[in-house]
Amino acid sequence: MKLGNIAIIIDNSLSMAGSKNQKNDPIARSLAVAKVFQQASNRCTTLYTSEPTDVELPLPSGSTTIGEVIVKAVRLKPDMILLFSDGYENRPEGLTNLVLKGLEKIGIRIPILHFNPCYAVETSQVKQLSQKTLTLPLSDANHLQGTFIRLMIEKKEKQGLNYLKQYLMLAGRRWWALPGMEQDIKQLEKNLTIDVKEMVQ
Amino acid sequence: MSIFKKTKQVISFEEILKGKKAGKSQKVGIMEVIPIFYQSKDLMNFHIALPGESMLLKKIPKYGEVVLENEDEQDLLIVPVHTGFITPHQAQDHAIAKGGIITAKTSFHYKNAFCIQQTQGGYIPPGHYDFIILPYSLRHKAIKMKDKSGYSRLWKDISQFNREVGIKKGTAHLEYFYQTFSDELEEFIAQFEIEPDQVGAIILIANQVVGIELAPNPDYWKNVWEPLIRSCYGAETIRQLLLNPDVRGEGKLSPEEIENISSIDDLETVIAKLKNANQAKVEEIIENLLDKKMHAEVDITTTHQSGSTDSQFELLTLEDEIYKGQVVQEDGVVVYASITADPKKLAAKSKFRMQKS
Repeated sequence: MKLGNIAIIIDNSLSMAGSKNQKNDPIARSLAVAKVFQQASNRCTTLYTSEPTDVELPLPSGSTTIGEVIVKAVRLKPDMILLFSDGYENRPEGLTNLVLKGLEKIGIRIPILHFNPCYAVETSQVKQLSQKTLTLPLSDANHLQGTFIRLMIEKKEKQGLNYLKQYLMLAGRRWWALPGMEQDIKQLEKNLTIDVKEMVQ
Repeated sequence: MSIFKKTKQVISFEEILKGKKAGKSQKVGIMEVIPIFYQSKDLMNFHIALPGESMLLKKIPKYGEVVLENEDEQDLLIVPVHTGFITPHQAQDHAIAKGGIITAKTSFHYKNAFCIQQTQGGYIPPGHYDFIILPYSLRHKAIKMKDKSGYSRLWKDISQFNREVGIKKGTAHLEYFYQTFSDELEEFIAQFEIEPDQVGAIILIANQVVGIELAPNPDYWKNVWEPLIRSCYGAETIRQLLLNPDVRGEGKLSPEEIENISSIDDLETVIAKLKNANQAKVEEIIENLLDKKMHAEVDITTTHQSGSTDSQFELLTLEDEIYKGQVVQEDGVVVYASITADPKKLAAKSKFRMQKS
C-alpha cells in the first residue's frame, strides 16, 4: 500500500464509543486501522477532534467538531487526509461540509477518505459527512484490501476489475499452495500493491 | 416517610442555575442542546440513587396506579418527572403524572398515574424496566393534571399526538409512536453526546427554549439523558418536522458564509465568527431565562440522611406563564429540575406548531 504523506483525523467524540453491547468497538477499530496507515505512510500526523487525555488510548468523550480539525490538517499540506468518524457531528451539524466547500473555493483539493466504523441505525448505511469526501465502511484492518478494491472499481473500473482478478488468482494459489506456485504468488503479491494516493486523486 | 403539605414560594431560574455554567451548544437539525455543568465538583450531590439502577416498578395495584420502590440501601431516589413504562408484556403501559422523592428502601404509591395504552388489559409485573419520559408536547398537560383522578385522562392528548405525527390508528396507544419512529429516535442518541461532567441541558427546538433539565450529578444525568433525548425531546423534534416541514432548513449553515473567502485564514475567521455568534446566542438565552420567576408549590417533603448529615428534601411544582415543571431542593438548594415550556405559548410567538395548518 502506497500512501505518501498523510494526516489522520480521529473522531474521539462520545458516539465513537458505539453501543453498550460492543463498547468502544468503533474507536478501537479506527485506531487499529489508523496504525496500519501510519506504518504505510512516508510521514503521518494524527489529530483528534478533542484533545485526548491519553494519546495511546484516546477513549471517546464529549461532542464532535470535525471541520476545524480538517483545516488544521490542511495546514500540514498532506497528500491526503484520512478521517475516522461515525459521521455524526453536532458543533454544529454541517460545519465539515461548509469547510470542505470553503477549501474547494480557495482551490485546495486535498483528497479526504472518510472511514466510517458504524452503520447508521436509521439507514443501515454508513453516514456521510459531506459529498465532498469518499466515505468507506470500516470493518477491520484485514478487510482494508477489499475496501480499496471496491473503491478502485468505483473510481477506475478497468484497473479495479483487473486488480480484483489478480487478487482472486492470488487467493486461489495460496489456497492450493501446490509446489511451483511460490514464484507466481510472489509476483502476484508484488502486483497487488495499492497506490491509494493515485487512486483518490 | 413522606409528608404532604402545600405552601407557596417563588423560585427563579437564577436559583435553579446557581453554581452552574453553560457549555458549548450542540446543534443537529432543528434541535439544539446547551450542556450545563456545575462550576465545581464540590457542588454536586453524589448521595442520590440512580433511577436506572435503583428504581423498581413494584406493583400496578390497579389501572392508573403505580408503586415505585427505591431499592438503594442508603440514598434517596429522585424519580424523573413523567417517567413512563412501555413494556413488551401483554399489560397496560403506565406513566406517572409528576416526579418523586423516595427515601432508601421505601416505596411510593402514585395514585394519579396515567394509562397510556388505551385498549390493553393486564398489569405490568414487578421488575426493573427501561423507562421513558413522556413526549414533550404531552408533559405540560400531564403536569396540569397531576393531582386529578382518572386513568384515562391523557388519552385524548395521546390520540391527538399520534394523529399529528401521522399515526392513523384511532386509539390512544403511546407505544405506536415509539414503534413507528424507533429508528429516528435512536439517531438522536448518537447525534447528541454527553460531555464529561455534564449534569443538565437547556433544550431548544426550532430556536425556542422548550426545556430545562438538571440532575444532581453526572451519573444521574447519564441515566436520564437517553429517555429525555429519545422519548421526550426527540419525539417533539419529529412532531415539529412533520407539522411544519418549512422549519427543517432553519439554522442550517449557509454557503453564503464562505462567499468572500480567499485563503485558509479567511476560512478560519468564518469558523471563529460562527462559534462566537453561537456563544453569544447561548449567553443571551441564559440571560433571558435568569430573570424569570416561577410560583412554586411544595408537593412532597421529606428528611433523609444525605452523606453524613440529615437533609430536608422537597419536591416542588413550578409554574409561570410559559414554563411548568418540578424541581427537587435539598436544604433549599435545587439539585434536580425538569421544566418544559407550554407548546401553545411557543406556537403563538414563533414557527413552533401545535397542529397542521
